[in-house]
Amino acid sequence: MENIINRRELAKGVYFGSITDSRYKKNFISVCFYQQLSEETATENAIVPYILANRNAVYPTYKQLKNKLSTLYSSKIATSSGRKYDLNFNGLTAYFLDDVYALSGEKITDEITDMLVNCIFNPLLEDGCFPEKVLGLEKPLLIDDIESVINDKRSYAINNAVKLLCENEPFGVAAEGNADKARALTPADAFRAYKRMLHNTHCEIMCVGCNDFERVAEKFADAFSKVERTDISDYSLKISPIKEQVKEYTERLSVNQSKMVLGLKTHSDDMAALVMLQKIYGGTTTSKLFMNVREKLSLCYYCAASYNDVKGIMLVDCGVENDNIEKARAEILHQLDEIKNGNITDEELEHARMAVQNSYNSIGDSAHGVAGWYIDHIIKDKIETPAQALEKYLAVSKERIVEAAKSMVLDTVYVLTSLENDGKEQD
Amino acid sequence: MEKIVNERVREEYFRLKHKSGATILLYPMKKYSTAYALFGTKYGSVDTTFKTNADEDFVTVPEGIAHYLEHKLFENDECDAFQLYAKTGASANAFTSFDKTAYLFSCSQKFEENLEILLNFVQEPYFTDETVAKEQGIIGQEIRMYEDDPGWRVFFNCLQALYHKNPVRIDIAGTIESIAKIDKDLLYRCYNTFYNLNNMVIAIAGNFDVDKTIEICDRLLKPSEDPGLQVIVPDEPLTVKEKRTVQKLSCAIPLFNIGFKFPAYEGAERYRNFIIYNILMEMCLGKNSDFYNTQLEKGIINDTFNVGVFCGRGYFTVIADGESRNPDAVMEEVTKELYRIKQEGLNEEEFITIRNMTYGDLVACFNNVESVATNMLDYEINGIGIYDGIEIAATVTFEDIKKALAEMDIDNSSISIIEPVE
Repeated sequence: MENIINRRELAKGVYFGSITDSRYKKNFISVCFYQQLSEETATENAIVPYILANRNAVYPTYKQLKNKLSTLYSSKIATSSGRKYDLNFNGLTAYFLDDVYALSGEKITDEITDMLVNCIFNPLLEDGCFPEKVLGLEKPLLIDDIESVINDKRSYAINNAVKLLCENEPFGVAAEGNADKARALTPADAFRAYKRMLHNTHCEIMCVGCNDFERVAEKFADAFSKVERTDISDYSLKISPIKEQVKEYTERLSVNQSKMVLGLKTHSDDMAALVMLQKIYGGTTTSKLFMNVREKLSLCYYCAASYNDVKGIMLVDCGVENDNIEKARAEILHQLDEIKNGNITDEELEHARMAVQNSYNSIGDSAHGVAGWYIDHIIKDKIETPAQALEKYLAVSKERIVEAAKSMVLDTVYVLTSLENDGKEQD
Repeated sequence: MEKIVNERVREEYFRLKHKSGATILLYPMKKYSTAYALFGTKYGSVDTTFKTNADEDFVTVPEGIAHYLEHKLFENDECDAFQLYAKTGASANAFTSFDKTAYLFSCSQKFEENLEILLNFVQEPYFTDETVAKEQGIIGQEIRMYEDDPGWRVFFNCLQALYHKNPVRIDIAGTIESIAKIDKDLLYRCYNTFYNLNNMVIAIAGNFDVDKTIEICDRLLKPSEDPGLQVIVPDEPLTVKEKRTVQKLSCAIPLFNIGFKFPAYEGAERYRNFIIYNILMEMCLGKNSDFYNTQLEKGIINDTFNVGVFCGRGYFTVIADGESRNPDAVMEEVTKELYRIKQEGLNEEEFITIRNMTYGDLVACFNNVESVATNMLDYEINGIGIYDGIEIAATVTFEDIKKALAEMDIDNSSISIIEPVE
């Protein structure tokens, strides 16, 4: 079942997209502001959703806001922020049960939309700025969030690898910001970042659910009509430059298992072939990496490839015994060489085609899946349906996949290993 | 075949006790493109000592064997199940938890072919010394991965502090040492004991044809005799084993799990208590509570703080978890607050709020095929139906919650802490 997005401009640089689908019992509305990601502004941008999500001028404390949301059948207003390619997005997302499931006929959609509008346009202020006390409450949460990245070693390794892979690029900047900068944030810094979002950045409102969302559009059009929208900042997405020499980096921590991330880059523009390459190389449980690094050599529990089409990056990551790092690296690169040498069986190609077909046909079954799909394509400025994309992927030949593999260059190798391991030294 | 209807979510499904012994749950969701199917057995990491009518004595098997068996069942003498699914494009996986093991696939095409693959490979074990040995390295790395995960470790350390003997205290994947003792004969013994269809459930939700599904089940499910399975759940003292446990790992801020140990409940009573204690704990310590907001403002906890019930066959606990620079202070404040509420009483308005919240969360579970199929299996293994949770949440009374608080032994608790390495 194909979902079609309705999208229109509500105000200058503010777009309202909606997908109505009776399958979903819950609705969601996401309001995100997009700007170029930069070291200078990431931290002050990151604090804004924390401040906005937990209170507003109508519900001035978290407890009051949260109680109202809970009464409306566990509705939620959550922060949304992060990195999308070279962009930094910050905003709020509301999740709520549709009105038809209310036990006592409550108008859930109207109430939640009003609360969301108030969180964004009518925040709690003191002398025309965010209150010092509010910043004092939210800052430690942002700092803890930044510092806790280390708890999940797999994401920690990938984050660090991306920083090295895309040094001096917006994509190499951590969207959640930096803990020291977060400690130094003042209410004025946060308020400046908030005003910039509201007045000068691109905004996408995306609604998905069984509602028709017309009332939501009206309420947001009204709210934005009272905001001056000038000098909407431009942004750009750029492919990542390839380093002249492979950058190798080893980090040591008290860990039992090492993590290795290989960052490969390409400047090929055959994106459909690169999508198919990722599947065959390390995107499924019959991929070359799974069948060889895991099943044949028993080196890893996970060893997988992911592909970022805008940046031209393929990441391969694995968890491996300290002594087997070199063996895993050699096998991972050997499997890419196999593809470069044309060693793709008809069966492997067919399996990859079946896998993309299955996953692209499944996108519409989840509200998140379909929203994520369209946001991604809006940002890339090429809106297409999953079925249109699928058609291109299924037409990819073996030769094109081999060419795509040949375009891949190893750029960065990041290893996280134990304090005791006598591997390569940190450079 | 029984048709089960629920007016609140305006949906229905079918339950069938199949002649083979298996229980089949079918939840057609026609507007969806995908179907999600699970084939599960009531066999998890806690089932370590058991016998059937055919065995003379009870056997105790190495820790982690249910999970090891899950990995190995994917292989037959020619290839593994992933390769069969690759031909249809289905996305396949499996998982082992404390009280069940399940094999699953999700597909938007060739549903019937996928169902045949699932039913066939789960019923055809093939273990050799060589294939069993090969898995040691892969599972070894899975165990290592969890050893470095502070969120996982703080939870298991808490269970080890709460329980003296119940096998819930052991890691699902076992240890590098325990899995070294696993061989093909032990795997066959566990398989033959627990993968009897009388002990198994098939749960399917989404876009599929009910009649064709039953036809495939009729054809492929091999009738099995009830083996008279007996599993020993060790006698567990009511008291906790240790009050406090600490481990050091790479992390930024200390992590904690504060566990409260309860007597074990079984079947429908367990699920009812699951809902009741979840509502009670949300009222006392959840994000709406005075406790949460005061401690957050004081900086004792951060927004990772969470509280909920964790329970299963032979165990029932409430666990409050999160990050704090002073976990012992959190323990003190939590205990103090529960005593205060026990003395001063609960607020009925807050109860209505939290009950609505619980109801909303349960209705939202019917939003996608994966959660419907997974919940059907889970509820069936726990002896109830998928709509029972919604009905309990919609009808639970303030009196039930007050009674639950009166019965709670606040001092029967442990704290597990993970501190950052120097």
